[in-house]
Amino acid sequence: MKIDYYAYHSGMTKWNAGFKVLLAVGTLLMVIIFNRVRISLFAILVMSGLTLIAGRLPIRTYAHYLTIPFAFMLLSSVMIAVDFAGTPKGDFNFSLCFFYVCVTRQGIATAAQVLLKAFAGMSALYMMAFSTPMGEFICVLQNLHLPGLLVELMHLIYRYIFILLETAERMQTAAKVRLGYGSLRQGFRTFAGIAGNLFILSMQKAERYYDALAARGYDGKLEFLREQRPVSAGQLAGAAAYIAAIIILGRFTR
Amino acid sequence: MTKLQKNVWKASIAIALALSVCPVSNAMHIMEGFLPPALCIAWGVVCLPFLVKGLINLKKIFAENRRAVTLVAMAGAYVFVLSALKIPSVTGSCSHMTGTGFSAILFGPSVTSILGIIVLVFQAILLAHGGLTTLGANTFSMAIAGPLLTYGIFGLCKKLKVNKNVSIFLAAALGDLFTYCVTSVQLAIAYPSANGGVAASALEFLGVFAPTQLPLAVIEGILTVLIMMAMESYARPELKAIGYGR
Amino acid sequence: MSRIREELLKTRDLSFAYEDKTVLQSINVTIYRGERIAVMGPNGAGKSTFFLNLNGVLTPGQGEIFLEGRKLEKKAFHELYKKVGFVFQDADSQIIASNVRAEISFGPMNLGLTKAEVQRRVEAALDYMDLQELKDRAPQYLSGGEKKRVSIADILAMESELLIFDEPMAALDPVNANLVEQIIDRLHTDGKTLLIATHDVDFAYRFADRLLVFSEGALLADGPPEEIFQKQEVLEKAHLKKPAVMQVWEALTDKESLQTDFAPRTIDQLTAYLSQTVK
Repeated sequence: MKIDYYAYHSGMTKWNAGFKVLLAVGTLLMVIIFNRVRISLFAILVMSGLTLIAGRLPIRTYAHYLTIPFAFMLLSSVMIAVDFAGTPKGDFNFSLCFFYVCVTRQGIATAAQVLLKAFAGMSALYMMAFSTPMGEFICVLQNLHLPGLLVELMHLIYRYIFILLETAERMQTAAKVRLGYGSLRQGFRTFAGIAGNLFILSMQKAERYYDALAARGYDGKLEFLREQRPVSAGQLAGAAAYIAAIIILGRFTR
Repeated sequence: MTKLQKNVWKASIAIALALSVCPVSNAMHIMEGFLPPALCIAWGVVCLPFLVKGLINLKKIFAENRRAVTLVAMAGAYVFVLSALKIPSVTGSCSHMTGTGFSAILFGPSVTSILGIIVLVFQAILLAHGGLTTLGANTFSMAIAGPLLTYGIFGLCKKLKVNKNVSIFLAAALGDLFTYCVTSVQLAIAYPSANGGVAASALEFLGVFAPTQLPLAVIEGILTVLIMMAMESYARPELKAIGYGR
Repeated sequence: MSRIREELLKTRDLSFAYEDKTVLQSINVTIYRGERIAVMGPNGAGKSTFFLNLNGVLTPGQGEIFLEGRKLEKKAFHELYKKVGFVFQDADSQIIASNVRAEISFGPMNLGLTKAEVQRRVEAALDYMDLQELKDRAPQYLSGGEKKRVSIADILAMESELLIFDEPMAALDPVNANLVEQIIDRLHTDGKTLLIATHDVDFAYRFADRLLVFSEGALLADGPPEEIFQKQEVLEKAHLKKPAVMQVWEALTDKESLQTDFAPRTIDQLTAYLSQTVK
């Protein structure tokens, strides 16, 4: 849950949340719509630049988070590049007993393209995630007129996640002290015990939490005062230049 | 084989082995940027009727009992936390439960679809698992298809009077497996094989993720049973209150 | 003090049952403006339920509630939150927003005020509780003491006259407990009416000018602390001890036969008296 922490302590925390969300989602869309290596590279450059320089995120932290979906990425891209066939159809073929593992140049190119696209997507998502507190993100969704019920549940769930995490951590520490994770079997039992207990606890807490909401006049609508953070002219100009550059890269170059 | 080919071959075997000992994937979130725009939208559209149904059901629940708001929110937070807790394992790796099977058994598939999509948004933003453009596809596989199957199997087992723990195990494990099958098909549709089309590609994806996903499905099943047992020993009345075990 | 006692909130025969289980049994209490009331009694005696009834979260099965002498319609009970603020024991169970400023605004937003007024009240509460520096922080990154202050600011921003605190010092370290006590004193000076549940007899003795003792859903005693702490049967039934200062004072007055109307409430008063008289 470190991303959450960084979101409150980023150099970009005070930027207008809607602006950041729009920039990230816009980048995502352009990257997958244009589907071009140079646009992916450009997006990676700009988004990472923002996160690292404007957001002042330590580069090692950033690198660590980029490797999270690594396993998924690697396996999937290998699968995109590789094909199985009865005859050696690819540019590189490896014979296994009954069939061939074929790799075509085209396949490798596609895999590389997909990989870059995925990285570009991640960099855009991270730009937003590492700089936008969740509460503000939810308020952006609220402005987009998502169903109120959904937005309200998001607010509450976000808050409760941290309460449950804290409780779970305390339980896990207590279990560790009592050597509750010795063997795998014991480990599973302890894990399930904590998870089961946590569930009961969370249901009991829910009752009290409703009282607390009602005590402050909650009647089915969760509303907070929102900080108004104007978008600066420089930010607007930067975003416009960035989008123009992507469109030029995607449209007018070959 | 040329030298390069041999090296590539060796490297891929090594990676496959490394990954099968250390299942790092949190179930199978399709990552950000991985799907073409048409599919992002298509999967989102497929999810819509289920989500609308979920919202309507929730509205009904809240209209009957407003206090259920914090209860449902707490359940959503619990599913997130359950999927964020590290499962203890011998290899010291980092595998997680999906938690949506658990939710499907306790709250039913329509509430689970709403909790599921919220949890997926949080996972994408707070944990970097999955993404926003792939939200539709991930919601369908993890918050709709898997839970529906789980719920169906659990109901079927109840009708057939199968032992409760066995039914929970089957429901959770098969739901998890189903999620992984759906994800493989989703990937295959996006990236069909040049020689065998979508079907061949789906088999490839199924194959390559099997070493991590098969054991995880079994673990999900076992843990769901253990958690239910632990819960029952803690508090039956609470479980009754949310409509489980009637 | 010679002012006329103004009635703020009154309950008459207030009873509350939770699924056939009686939790409160015909409670008759009148709270006057500016009072400092300590509410005592073991857990499960009905204190929290009583508060939730006063605040409109729970609706009593029977009984009447009077606000400033006016009898309230039953359907107006749930609007009591506008006049009666309730600070929960566990700050975590109260805080719901994802930053301090938004959190404090939640109550005022529900009062249907203009945005400018909400803003003014949030700022005032931030200042009062010395939270300006934390206003953009998320609750998950606040310490226990900070969260407590936020939960008090939450209620202050609603500007209710009667403030209820449920065990405000529980689970706080001595520094923060001390801070909260100072805040409570300041609130009294600023004219708030205070109703505080506590298990700490010493705190109750130095803080309260009136004591309510609950036992098994009934109001066991209602009166000045110096009288109630003398009633052995009340103390036994409610599992209370005599405040330390009172015990020491009694021991002294027995032995030294100090005949005086004065009775110290705090350690400071006691030591000041002793250093003056005992040489």
